[in-house]
Amino acid sequence: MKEKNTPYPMQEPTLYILLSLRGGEKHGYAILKEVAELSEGRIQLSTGTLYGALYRLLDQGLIEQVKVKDNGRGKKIYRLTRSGLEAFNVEVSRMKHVLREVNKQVHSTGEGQV
Amino acid sequence: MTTIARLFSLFFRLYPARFRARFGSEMEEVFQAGLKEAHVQGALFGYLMREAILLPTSLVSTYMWSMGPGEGRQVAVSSMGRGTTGMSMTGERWGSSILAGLPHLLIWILMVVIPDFVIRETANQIGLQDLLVILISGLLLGTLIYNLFKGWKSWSGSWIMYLFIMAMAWLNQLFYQLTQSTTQNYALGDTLLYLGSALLLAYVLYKITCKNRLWGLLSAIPPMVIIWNISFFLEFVPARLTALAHSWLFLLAFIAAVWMLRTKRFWAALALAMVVPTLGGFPIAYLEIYGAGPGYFPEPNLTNVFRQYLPYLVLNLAIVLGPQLAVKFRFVGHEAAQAGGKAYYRLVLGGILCGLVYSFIHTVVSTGEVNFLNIPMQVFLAIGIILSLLGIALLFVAVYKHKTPDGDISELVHLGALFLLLLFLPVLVGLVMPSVRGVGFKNWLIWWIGIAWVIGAGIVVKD
Repeated sequence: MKEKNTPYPMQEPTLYILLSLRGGEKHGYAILKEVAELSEGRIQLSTGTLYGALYRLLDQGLIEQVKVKDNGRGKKIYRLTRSGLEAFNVEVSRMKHVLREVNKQVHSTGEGQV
Repeated sequence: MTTIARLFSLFFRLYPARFRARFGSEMEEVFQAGLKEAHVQGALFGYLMREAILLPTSLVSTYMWSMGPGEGRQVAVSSMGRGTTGMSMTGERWGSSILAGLPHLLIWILMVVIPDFVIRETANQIGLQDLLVILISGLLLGTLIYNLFKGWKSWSGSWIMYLFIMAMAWLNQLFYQLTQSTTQNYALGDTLLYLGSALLLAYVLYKITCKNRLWGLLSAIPPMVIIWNISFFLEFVPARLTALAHSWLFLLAFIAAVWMLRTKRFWAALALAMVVPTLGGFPIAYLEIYGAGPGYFPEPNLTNVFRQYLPYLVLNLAIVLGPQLAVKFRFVGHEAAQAGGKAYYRLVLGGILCGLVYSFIHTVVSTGEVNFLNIPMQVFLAIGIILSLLGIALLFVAVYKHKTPDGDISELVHLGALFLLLLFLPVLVGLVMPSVRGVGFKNWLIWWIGIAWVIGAGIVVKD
């Protein structure tokens, strides 16, 4: 499914979910744990928030679901699609650009870098 | 621990059916894993609080995504890109198809059988009709709740529209009671209610059509049936004849709804939706002219019948075709989204909506003594024209940039046709409504233009 209407700026939990999946495919609980870890405990997703976000990301084609066999059971894992990686990179570039602009502004007023 | 997990698994059932089917068991597993870990770490209370506090917002956003732009967008760009039409699917089973037609039979019992047969025949004044209104309202509401929890069923369109109409009727009744007791500014409130319900109806039909064009056609039937039922003056026509004409209309609506789902072909569904007012409305218009007996209408003739019949037929067909045109227009905007076209098509639709408001107010002003609406009318007209023209100009540029590197202008011609037909909708309403049942060459011309619009729109909405 191709990417449709990715909203920028992304919500922080969404960005962290994509960041987590950028490191490799994961199942739901692993994403939950890694988001908390990556954000240094600042973002603690609830089960509903996590799956709400996964639902939207799947619908937008930014991630995909893969079934793997685990102890004889079908287990679902998620991985980033190419569109998802592009969307993530676009968002990161946008954030870098914002930071650059902020730094320029701060520098011109002599307040030191952010 | 097990009790808490069970309790939360009950909460998870509040999510939309499709969402639950996809993630339900996984969510329960993840919740239980988190619960165990929080228990080990002695952070159980914090974990449960977070789950409980974030649950409502998560529910709301998931429902919004399921019902709104998320899946709607998916549909709008899917298959042939003009919203899914269900053409590639096989027909529904008899059970679902009959369910789609069932509300027409229920409303037929409420509006025709009870008042025209039971009450008239038995002089039954014990509130049987009121009881039935409550029962049917409850049934419609129950269907809405069922669909919210179990996911939108293909047969739900007619139920949802009748529920909407019932809700409007209840609101109208409530409003009437209130204004009777306060007697303040009835005309203004009545007008606002009239405008509000018409625009809301247009919006609901558009949103349903965005989800699925076949459902849009299914949902267009109830408002048409109600319009034919309440708009004609049949007071002097024998009750049996009126009941027969109305029954014929409801029967057609029932058959059309059932066959729409049985065939699940867009063209068949479009034809069926258009057949309901075309065949079902004529006997009602005929009866108004011929049925009242000698003395009431001194010179009944077929010309007079058509004068009654055509304006309403054109308006009814606009209810079928308008949302379909809007969804196709929406598709053009989405196709040109990279060049900003999506925003521009919204400008155009906003302009057309203002045009519709103008038309409705114009209708009210020209048929009543509500002069205070003159200024809002002019404001809506001005905003409507500016938004429409600005939006279409920008959209043309966006489509041109996006679609025509090889000089192919067919998409631009298609866009132009869609725009003109959509723009004509408010004009149609504005022109036809005040001249309903009028006489003279001007009115005939307007009606024929209306019919030409129907043919043009019918051709353009094809896939």
